Amino acid sequence: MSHETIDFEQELRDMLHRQADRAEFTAHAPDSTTVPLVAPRSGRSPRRLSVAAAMLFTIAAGAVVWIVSDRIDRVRTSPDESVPTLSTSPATSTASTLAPSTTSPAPTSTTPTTSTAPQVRLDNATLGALLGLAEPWAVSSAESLSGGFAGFSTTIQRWGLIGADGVSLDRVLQLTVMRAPDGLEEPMQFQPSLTSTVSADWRTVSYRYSAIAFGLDADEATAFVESLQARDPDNPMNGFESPAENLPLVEEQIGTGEELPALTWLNIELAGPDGSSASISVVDRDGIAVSLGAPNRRVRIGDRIGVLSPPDFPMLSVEWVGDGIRYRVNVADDLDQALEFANAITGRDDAAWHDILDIARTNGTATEPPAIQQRTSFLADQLDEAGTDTTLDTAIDDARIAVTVTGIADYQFLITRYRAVSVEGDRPAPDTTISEGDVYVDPNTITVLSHNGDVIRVTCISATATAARHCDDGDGQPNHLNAMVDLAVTTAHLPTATAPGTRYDNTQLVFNSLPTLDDFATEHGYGSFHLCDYNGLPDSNPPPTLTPILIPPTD
Amino acid sequence: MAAKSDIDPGATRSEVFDAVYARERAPMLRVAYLIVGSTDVAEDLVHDSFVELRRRWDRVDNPGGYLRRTVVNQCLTWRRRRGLEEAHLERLRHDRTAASVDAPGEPLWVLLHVLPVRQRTALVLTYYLDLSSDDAADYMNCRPSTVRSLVHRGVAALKEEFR
Repeated sequence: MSHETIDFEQELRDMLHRQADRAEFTAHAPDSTTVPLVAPRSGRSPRRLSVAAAMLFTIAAGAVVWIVSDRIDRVRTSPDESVPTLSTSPATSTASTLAPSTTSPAPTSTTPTTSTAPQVRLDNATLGALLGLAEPWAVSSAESLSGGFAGFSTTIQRWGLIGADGVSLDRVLQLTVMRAPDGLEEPMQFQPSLTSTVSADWRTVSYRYSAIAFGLDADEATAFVESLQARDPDNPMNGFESPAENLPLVEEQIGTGEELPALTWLNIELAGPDGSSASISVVDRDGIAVSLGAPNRRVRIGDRIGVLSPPDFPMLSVEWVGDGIRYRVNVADDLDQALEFANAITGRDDAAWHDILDIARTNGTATEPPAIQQRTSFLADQLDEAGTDTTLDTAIDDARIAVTVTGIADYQFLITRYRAVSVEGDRPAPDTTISEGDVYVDPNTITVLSHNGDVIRVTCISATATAARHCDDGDGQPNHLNAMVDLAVTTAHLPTATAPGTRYDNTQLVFNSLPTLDDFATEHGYGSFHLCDYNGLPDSNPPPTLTPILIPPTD
Repeated sequence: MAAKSDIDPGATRSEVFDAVYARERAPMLRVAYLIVGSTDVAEDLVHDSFVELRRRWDRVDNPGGYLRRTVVNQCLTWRRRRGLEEAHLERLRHDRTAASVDAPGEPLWVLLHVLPVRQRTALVLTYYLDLSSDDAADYMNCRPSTVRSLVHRGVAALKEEFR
């Protein structure tokens, strides 16, 4: 070999090392040079929020999240106004106008504040006894979170037209007001969001506002909000009046804006004999419950059962408000089941549930509050979770993940390159299948927001199948594998955002592969899944099979 | 490139995975970057490789070796897979052209990425990781003679262009 060749090879070698050293990668993980080969034993795993907890978080903190969210547009107010007065006509108005901004900044997500209070977990047997639930329903997991998310007293008002059923609202706008630390004004801009609603967040110097409307388009919602007039120009927490006859005020909850003690809630996951599942959430505070869907699913204070999800919604929810307590039941598919659970709750009065919450607060095992998890932990956690009955959801840095999971196929998403990314979505439709190279087409929405123009990758890292909830691993005893059954490890690549805030729907997600349930079972040593009923008897029903949904033809 | 058994036997699966992730991610990123020429793509491919590793965790004794093989394979095939995805995404009219080579400051770096990906991979494994042709062949799933041929032709092409 000539010297020339040797020199060139050395130059090539040096160049490769220079380039490798020069490359800058996203710091998802601690630098390998500073991490010991064996990760330190922390004695605990990062706290994981169960799916139900995530859902409850969405519900319980929904208003707060909306309000504290930074994805709020700037309101145009006169310089000396900190409170918008919403007048009936320009001639009489001394107030600001609330006009959509055409150059609104990219939305960013805000992780809700968590308190440092410990969470408390009650063992399932205790909870089962407290609930008084009879077989065949069983508590598969339960946790109570005491001091989870702190809240603020908000003012919530709803204007709408009561539908023929006397409960739902045909056209409704809900406005939430919360006191906030002084900050820059941000304009109002209604935008379409999930579940056929339009929503907007904005703020004045001292108050944050959030509005969500159903049955109104963005222009109508904007016009309506602009027509509102503050009862007390110095304190919008006192609420607003609408001069519009066609959209009367139907309910309101006037708050003070003061910080409230952290919520205590109880999440209970239940498993049924036929592979179904449900969750019950009890929160020690009343108020207008915010449904996962459109706000037209009305909850009236004092209602015992206030909300039923629309027929085409993939999850049935019943929620209502008691005396200083709020209840919610989520069931995958069966209204009767929802009502059964609801009855199980209503079999005890509010005071009894307060007692249960007190027990949950004080008698359980204290654990750490939810931790923001890094990607490595999140990935690694999957390993521990497979085969356990703990459901998992997570928050990654400042990303907000609100994936509604329940029913036949539950999907969770790992967000990488996650700065200021949020994902909101529903479960896929039953029997949806993703095959290699297929585009995930689903009537429900998975929305990915890119705030910085980065390529965003969404990895569906796990899925839960109802059939796997009750299986036999060979010992003849039914096991609850209602979490992290690795039905799907699949990745979606999203194109580079053309603009900050670009929304993608799930028709744009391209998944690489989807292993089958049997693949998972074999791979993880469960053998073939032996479906059984709750008594351990073989179930004649086959595991859920996933049928391909091919992408529509390219135009 | 330690096997699982080299890690604290008392560690949980999560901790072992954490340790592997923390230890292997950066070197894997560098290898992937040298082959594909893009930090973005490298991160994607390494991410996919970790996901793949996780899926097969129970059956993998040497995570580092498995990862390296997976990363190399991902690098060799990513353009093909990317083409499939782009076909789906084309109708969405998002610009998703092939990743350009990052930091093209060095002429030799640019030239490297003009080479076919298999030649490039063989060069990276040989001159960056200092692997023998036998080891490189194992990672590239080909014969050692093929690796030697790829290296020979790659070096020759670079010299020709670099002259």
